[in-house]
Amino acid sequence: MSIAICAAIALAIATAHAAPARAQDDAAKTRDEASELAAAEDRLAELEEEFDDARSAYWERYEEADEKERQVLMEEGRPDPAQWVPRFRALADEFPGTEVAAGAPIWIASNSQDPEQSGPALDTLIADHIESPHMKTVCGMLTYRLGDGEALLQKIYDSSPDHEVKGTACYTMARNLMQQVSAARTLKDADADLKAVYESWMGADATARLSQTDPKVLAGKAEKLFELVVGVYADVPTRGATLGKAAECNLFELRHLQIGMVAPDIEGEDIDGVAFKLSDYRGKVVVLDFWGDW
Amino acid sequence: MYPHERSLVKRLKDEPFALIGVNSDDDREELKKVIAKQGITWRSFWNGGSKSGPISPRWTVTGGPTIYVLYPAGVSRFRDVRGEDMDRAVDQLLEEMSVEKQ
Repeated sequence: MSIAICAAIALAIATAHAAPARAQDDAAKTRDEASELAAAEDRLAELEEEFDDARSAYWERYEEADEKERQVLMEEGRPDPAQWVPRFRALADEFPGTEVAAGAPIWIASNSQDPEQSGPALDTLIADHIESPHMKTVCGMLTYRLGDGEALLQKIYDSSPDHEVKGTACYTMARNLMQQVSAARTLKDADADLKAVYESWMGADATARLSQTDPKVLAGKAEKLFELVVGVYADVPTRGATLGKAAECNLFELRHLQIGMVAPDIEGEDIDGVAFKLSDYRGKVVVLDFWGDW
Repeated sequence: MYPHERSLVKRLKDEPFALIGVNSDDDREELKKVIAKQGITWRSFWNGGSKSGPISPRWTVTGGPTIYVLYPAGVSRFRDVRGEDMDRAVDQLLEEMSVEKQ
């Protein structure tokens, strides 16, 4: 192990012990609630950083290790978010009703691999922080939750006063419905083994419900929600774009790219700059492959 | 991926079949080198030098590499089939075409 990495780990351990002490000092210096909360926010950020550092230190060690050492590292396991959870919880308990109290369960719900931890964290967020702007992050966690994700997103949409949260809930609900569409399609001809896979993923009830649901009805609901996003929440920023753009892409897919639909034409130029169209190849079986040399 | 596609194109060179790419690389000259080196004989649209070019974002909502298999009138019949699945999909559609002609 290199000296730099040893130092990084030592530093991580030192910060782990120093952080609460420093924050306590800060709190003692001022009774002002606002600065106390600011300090708590710093502690939350430090705690998040500490975990990120521990994780990158692990991967750096792994990167430099030989075969045998890697074996040991694999057995040791990556830094487990579960070990940080009690400290996040303690911080949330110290500042009830604040954005810090919302930030802690968000970290737990996003990072913990243990449903016994992430489940209650999500419940706390819905029960106590549904009006928080942080709920935007929570929405993203519900895209693939086919059992109750749609209902939870509806609840967030109904309860949040925040334009960005509402838009994100609406968009994510539509994406969740699209996942339900493909699940419902697959379940139509699924054998017992495949059904069991779905049951362990989203529960027996949801599996039974989706097996009985017409995918077209679900797709119709998704389409209405994407339209609502385009109409009302188009300006909401999302990763690298806006919800409006993302929803338009989804609508294009729903309306033109489904199996059994005539694909829209593509007009463009080839790599040498010669103009051509996809429809030039009508009458042939065409494999259309979106690719890049990456 | 290149070897599989190369062999598919070679195997079906006398069939009513075409592999069309939409390429989202950023450097056209570099890409030309890759095409020469990898023996890529099929045609690709140039997506304007970016993944968010004029063609791709609407066609690739799920992100990542996307593949469509189209029946002669341009109808999408399969999506995201790779490797042997792609071969099977194409063979099935070619078979359907020859049955229809009879």
